[in-house]
Amino acid sequence: MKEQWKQQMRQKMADYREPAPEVSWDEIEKALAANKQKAKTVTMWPRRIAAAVVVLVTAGAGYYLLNREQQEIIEETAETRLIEGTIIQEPVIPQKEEVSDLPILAKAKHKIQQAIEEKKTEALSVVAVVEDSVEQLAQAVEEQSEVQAPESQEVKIQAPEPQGQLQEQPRKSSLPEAHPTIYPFDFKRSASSGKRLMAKVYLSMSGNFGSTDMCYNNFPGYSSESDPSTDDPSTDVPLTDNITADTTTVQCRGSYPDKLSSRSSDGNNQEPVNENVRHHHQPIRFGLLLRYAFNERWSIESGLSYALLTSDISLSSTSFKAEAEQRLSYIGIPINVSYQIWGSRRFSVYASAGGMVEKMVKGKRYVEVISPTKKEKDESVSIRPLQFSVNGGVGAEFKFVDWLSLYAEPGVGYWFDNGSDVPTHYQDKPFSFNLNVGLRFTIK
Amino acid sequence: MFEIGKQDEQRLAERLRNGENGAMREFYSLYAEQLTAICSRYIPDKDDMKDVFQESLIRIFTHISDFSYRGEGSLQAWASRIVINEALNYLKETKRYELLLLDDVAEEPEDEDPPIEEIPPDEIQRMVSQLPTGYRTVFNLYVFENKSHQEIASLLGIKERSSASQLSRAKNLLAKMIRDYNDKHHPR
Repeated sequence: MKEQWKQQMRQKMADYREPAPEVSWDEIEKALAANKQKAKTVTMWPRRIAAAVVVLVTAGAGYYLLNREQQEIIEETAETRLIEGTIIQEPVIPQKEEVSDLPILAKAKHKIQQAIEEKKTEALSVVAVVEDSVEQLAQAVEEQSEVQAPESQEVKIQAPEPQGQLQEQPRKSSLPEAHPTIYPFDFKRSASSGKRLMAKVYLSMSGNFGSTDMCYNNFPGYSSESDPSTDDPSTDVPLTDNITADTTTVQCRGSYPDKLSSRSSDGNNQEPVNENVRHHHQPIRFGLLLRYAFNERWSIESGLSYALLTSDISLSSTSFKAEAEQRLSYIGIPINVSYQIWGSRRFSVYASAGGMVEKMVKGKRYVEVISPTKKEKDESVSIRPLQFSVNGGVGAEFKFVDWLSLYAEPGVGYWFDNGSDVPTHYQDKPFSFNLNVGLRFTIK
Repeated sequence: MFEIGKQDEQRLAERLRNGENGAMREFYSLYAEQLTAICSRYIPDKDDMKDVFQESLIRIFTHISDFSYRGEGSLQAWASRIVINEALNYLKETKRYELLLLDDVAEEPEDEDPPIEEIPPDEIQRMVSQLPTGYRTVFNLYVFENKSHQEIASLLGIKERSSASQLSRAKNLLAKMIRDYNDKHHPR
């Protein structure tokens, strides 16, 4: 092809016009508004994350310090005084004790109750003072922001009858019940346990949890490296999917145009041009984590995790059919904070929450073109942006021996959109159910 | 035919940037037909083209702040690039393996450049639209966008050699259509 012919062709077509299609201005304006909002959200995120981290760290550290202090103060003041039966004396409750330990309060009340029973017949004034002090304690209990033992609030030692008779019924019935609920805040044993490091190895499985899926019609995906000014943050089309026990399926009809036609031609039964079906298998996650326990209750853990995401993707149109098998390996660094809710020598239950940053380190896709001609092809997949996620859940742990335990942690996770075009479990099912099971080693 | 002066082009971009009322519609009335011609050169299917075209407009309006005026016609040139990129993204997403399949095509000895003076533009457009996807895409990029085979290869994710072979085949197919047209309409 001569340069001259090429130029001639270009000139010929330079001013060529075709009747423009009608566009939906509503859709365009909607997209513009959404874009503005998205831009705002994106810039907000780093701040939000930073804020969350600060709050988490501060709260964690604060709580830890507070607990240590409380333990000392409370044991020295309220508890001891009450135990000694000096009920007439108003218990000194420092300001800090507004978030004080429930068990101690319960214990205190129990003592008071006992004392009251002993002194039932004593003068009315004495009982009135008792009532005062107990009410203060009850108030302190009420001020416990989160874990309130509902029963304990009912523990109101009734104002004595003129005859000096106390109604014992509510006390007797409610106090013993209050104990199990109160238990989580019992820090008494933490003094003996101290700090320790644990290593944890886990195997995790996660499945779909949400009822809607983000479907990125980008089969089979490009890491958009072409032109930064035009790489498009994919618009997503939430579609319902079929959920089976071990695979999740995203069905996207009418590939790319779908994101437009699904909006613009709602209700129109258009013949699908392309069919893009993705089966995302449950990701499998292995981890090696080090756990640092502040005390018996609170601990923080971090380390490395490896995840394998496999998907079967098929694309077909009237003239074309292909199947692809995609395997993506991720290395991640999780950070979790966990809190032990309940524990015995062998068994414990805890809640944990945290975040994870992952990088896809190896991606392969085996593609088999079925028609129009048979062809097989191996290609590599790359996802440059990091994958962030947050998760939370409840775990149960069984200790074989002091340093080795088996655990299971069901929970939910949310994987943030990292802007990648590659269809993955994370992108298509950002909100998913997780189950981590594994072994945890404790290094003292 | 609409012609837009230097001042107007700059002002229109500014108005779009400020989200002024009517600016988008004015842009549409000025440029839509030319952009449509470019878009359908890559995507002949009317419905698909319409979708990509609308998406391109959204892209243009949301990224107007990236545009900087560089002389007359620069707004149109910038908008055209966005349309082409949108079209290529669409093709890569939906026709990726149709493009890849052509990796194995061997280069053909090229026919002579056929005369095109007598052929009206809409006829050329029709002929180009009849080329297979891969051929057509490479041809458009090479001829109308003046891209090198290296650039085309990286744009489409194909081998450089494949770009050359697809171009030669596209050219030969087109040359045949042009010859047929000339024979029919201007017999010598």
